[in-house]
Amino acid sequence: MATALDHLDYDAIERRERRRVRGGWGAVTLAALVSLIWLAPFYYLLVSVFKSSAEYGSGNPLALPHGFAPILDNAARVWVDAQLGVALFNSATYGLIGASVAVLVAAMAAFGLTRIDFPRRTGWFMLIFAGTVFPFQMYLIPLFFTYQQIGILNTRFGMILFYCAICVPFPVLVLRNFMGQLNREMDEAARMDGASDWRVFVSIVLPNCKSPMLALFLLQFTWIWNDLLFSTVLGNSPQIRSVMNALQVFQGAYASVGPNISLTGALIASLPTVALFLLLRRHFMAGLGVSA
Amino acid sequence: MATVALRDLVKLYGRHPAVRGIDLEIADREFVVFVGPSGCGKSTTLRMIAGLETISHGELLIDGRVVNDEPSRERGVAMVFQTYALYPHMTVRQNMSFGLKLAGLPKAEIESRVARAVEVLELGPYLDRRPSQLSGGQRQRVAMGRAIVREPRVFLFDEPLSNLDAKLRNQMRIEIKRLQKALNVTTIYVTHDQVEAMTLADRIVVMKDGHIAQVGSPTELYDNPADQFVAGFIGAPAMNFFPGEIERDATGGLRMRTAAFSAPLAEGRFVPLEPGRRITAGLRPDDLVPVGHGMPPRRPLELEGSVVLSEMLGGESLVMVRLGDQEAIARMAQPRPVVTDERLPLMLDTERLHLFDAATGQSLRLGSAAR
Amino acid sequence: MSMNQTSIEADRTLLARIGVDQVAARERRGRRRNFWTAFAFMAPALALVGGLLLYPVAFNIYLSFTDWRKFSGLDTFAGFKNYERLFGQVYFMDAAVNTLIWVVASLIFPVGLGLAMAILLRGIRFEGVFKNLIFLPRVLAPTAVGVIWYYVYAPGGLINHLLSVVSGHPVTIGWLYQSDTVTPAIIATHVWQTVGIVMVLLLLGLSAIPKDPVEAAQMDGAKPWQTYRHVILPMLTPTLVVVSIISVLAGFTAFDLLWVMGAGYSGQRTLSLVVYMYFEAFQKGGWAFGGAIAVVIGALVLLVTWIQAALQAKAERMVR
Repeated sequence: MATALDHLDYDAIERRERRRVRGGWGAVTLAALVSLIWLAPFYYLLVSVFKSSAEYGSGNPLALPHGFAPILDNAARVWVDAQLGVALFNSATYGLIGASVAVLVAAMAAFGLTRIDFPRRTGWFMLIFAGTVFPFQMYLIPLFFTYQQIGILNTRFGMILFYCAICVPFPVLVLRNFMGQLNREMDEAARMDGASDWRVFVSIVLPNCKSPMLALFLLQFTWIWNDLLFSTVLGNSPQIRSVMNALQVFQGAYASVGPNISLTGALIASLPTVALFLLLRRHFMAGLGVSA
Repeated sequence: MATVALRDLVKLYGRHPAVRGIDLEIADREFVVFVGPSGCGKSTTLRMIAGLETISHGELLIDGRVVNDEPSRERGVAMVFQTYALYPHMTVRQNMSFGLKLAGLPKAEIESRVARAVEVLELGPYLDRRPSQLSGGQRQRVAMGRAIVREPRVFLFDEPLSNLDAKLRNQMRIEIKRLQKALNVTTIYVTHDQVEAMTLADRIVVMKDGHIAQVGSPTELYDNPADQFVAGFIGAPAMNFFPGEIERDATGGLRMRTAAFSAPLAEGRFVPLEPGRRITAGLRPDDLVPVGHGMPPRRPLELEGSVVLSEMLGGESLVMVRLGDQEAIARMAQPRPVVTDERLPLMLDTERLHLFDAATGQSLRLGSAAR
Repeated sequence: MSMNQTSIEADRTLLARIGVDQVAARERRGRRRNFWTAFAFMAPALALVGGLLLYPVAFNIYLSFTDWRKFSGLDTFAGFKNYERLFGQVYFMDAAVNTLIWVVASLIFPVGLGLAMAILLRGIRFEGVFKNLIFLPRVLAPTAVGVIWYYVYAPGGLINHLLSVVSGHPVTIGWLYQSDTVTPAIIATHVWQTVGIVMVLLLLGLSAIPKDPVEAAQMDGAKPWQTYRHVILPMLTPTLVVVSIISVLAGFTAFDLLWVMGAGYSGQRTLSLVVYMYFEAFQKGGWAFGGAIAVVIGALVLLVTWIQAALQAKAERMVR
């Protein structure tokens, strides 16, 4: 019996085993077809940005571009007319500062909620989390009015302040969950080593939360980058507006000029977050998994 | 090096007492082991000494000074946790230096202390590794190293071996004993494993339901248990218990009669007893000797039991026999195979019979160390 | 049993002896001291959330009961006047109806399509590749998606072009300019963007289902679709509920797409309650009125969330 093993065709067996995945080629073809249709708008985007306005107007939307040169003109046009440079800088600033401050503040709050014993902890957590329960629209009018009164309407500070606030509750939820699972004896050992509460937080708990904090930072950064509504209400001036705000204003004003230019603007505005996603897919998915 | 005193120590959780007022004096350099079933309060007591739990009532003294309200770092104690509680994001070296850095010790001093601990614990090759890269036994040693470098007055161990597999546990037990002898520091050790207690301790504190059941050396507890609980807890396999009563025999002397056997009371061993008194007799498996398999006792009582089953352990076997109405375990040295229902002649060592009050469980031995 | 009685008595004696109330008071004081430490850690979060999120909500509710307009006072109390006016407005009712259509559509289409795709993709070759491709639209900002699809739906755009090719004669429907096509068109875009994450979550849920009941069904002789219907889908219910709620809430509060794609539609303000509110508050200056709309939106969202929590609990109890 032992020698019979030599006569088996390992390659064929391996092929058969691998094909044990469901469906085989039929399902793959169907999936490929669906994906193709699904991604048609992407294709449309990519071919359009390389066309000049004349070229776009003359051919059909699906036609391949003649060359790559026009994208530079398109980009230059949208850059100048939409003041994309300032807008990109604004969104980057709001995203970096807002997301990182929010995640750190959330970590502090989660630490207080999980590693220190005090009465009615859950109540305090619900208070912080109540920030996300209400729909955004309920913040708009009062914030606009208050910002105006205090004088921080249309300021970078005002925008950053808001983004920090709104990006706090969700990370608190996630980090509270995560810190609740961390081994508590670590804290006790540190306290016996003589660490104060702040020390325990900075040197012991925080370094062990790097993974969820990074995922949360990415999620919140993306949210801030994508925001249109709050930038429109709280910071609409051309110097302060976010990139999505600039894009929308541009598209509204220049709708007839040429889709190729607006689409180039949309592409430029999307590149950073798409790049982030592709590079750090793992952490994005981890962020979703942690919350789901 | 320090003495530790517990005076009427109580711990309440809400209205529920976990520790019900215990008194204990621990001498300098003594190795004391707290042992008992889950929920007896041993870990709570240790944590009160460590400063991780507040003391509800009573006094805790270290080196004669009341330290109830002092935070852990000022009590001069260091603890080895059950789950090692190593800092997962730090290397072994950093784990051991963390506390010293917080205390503001000069770098040279920190390095020399760490070096000394590393040598004693043989952790040299692991200094720059993270805990996740170490085995259970190695992590154990790092946890001990972290405690050693603090040069505490009292070492505290909270069930440090319960997360290790059996073989490793035996090895580490010997390591800990060796270490304690070398460092010569007062040590308080908590475990639920009575074998650890018996092998490591200078004195054992048996706890139950928040009380101390008995304090004594391993031999004292083994030979002279204060009550039925301690008798059954210490020693493996556990003591056999036979409910029965005292009766007068034909000559007017007193005997104990149980469902398994009837034996004379050894002279001068027990407190005055009267006939009709309900008792529980206790006999260790070592003292129930199958004929021909061990030293015959001096004053034996000969019985015959019928075999129920036997567990072969290699150099000896544990045979469960039926005596009268009851089952008991006997230790068989130089074992031979036995068959179920085989009639096995046994010799019972009457001088080593224990007697406990059937209602309270207290030992009825004269001069017993009951509290 | 007498042992328990004596231990209860022993407890009571012990408690009396040590003065349990003092002990409890001391413990409470200790916990309260802890509270201030914890409060210090929570303070920044509380300040931010309280000041910029919670206070505005409260203020919003308050102002909806005033008569506040762009230049007149905030303090004139107007009772339910705003709400009464609201329900009498044609625009409001249109917007409400459209919002309702959005809710139903974002419940059915993303979830239905997502489920179909999840079932199709599960376990096939290149599953990972397809998963990422379908998820890709999600990575774009809604605004950018709006801009792209604005031109996809444009009279000379992609959709019309494809229809022309297929039908043989030129098609120039102004999808985003006509009242009967604008909402379905934007919903389609929204579905395009949302299916990705719905599908990913459902795939996660499917893979979390234990294999044993499925294999038992197979051995009982069930055909694949029967297995799905009677074993897999029921066990997927908790995930389905979560996914549905995410989808509904996303559809409820969608603003970006409506703002960008609805720009060419004359009745843009009726596209949803959110857009309506923006118009009333920021373009017409009726703060209190806008506030009332916001309160209505808020109440509806809370209602949906509450229904979700109940359904989710029920679903989880079923599966257990």
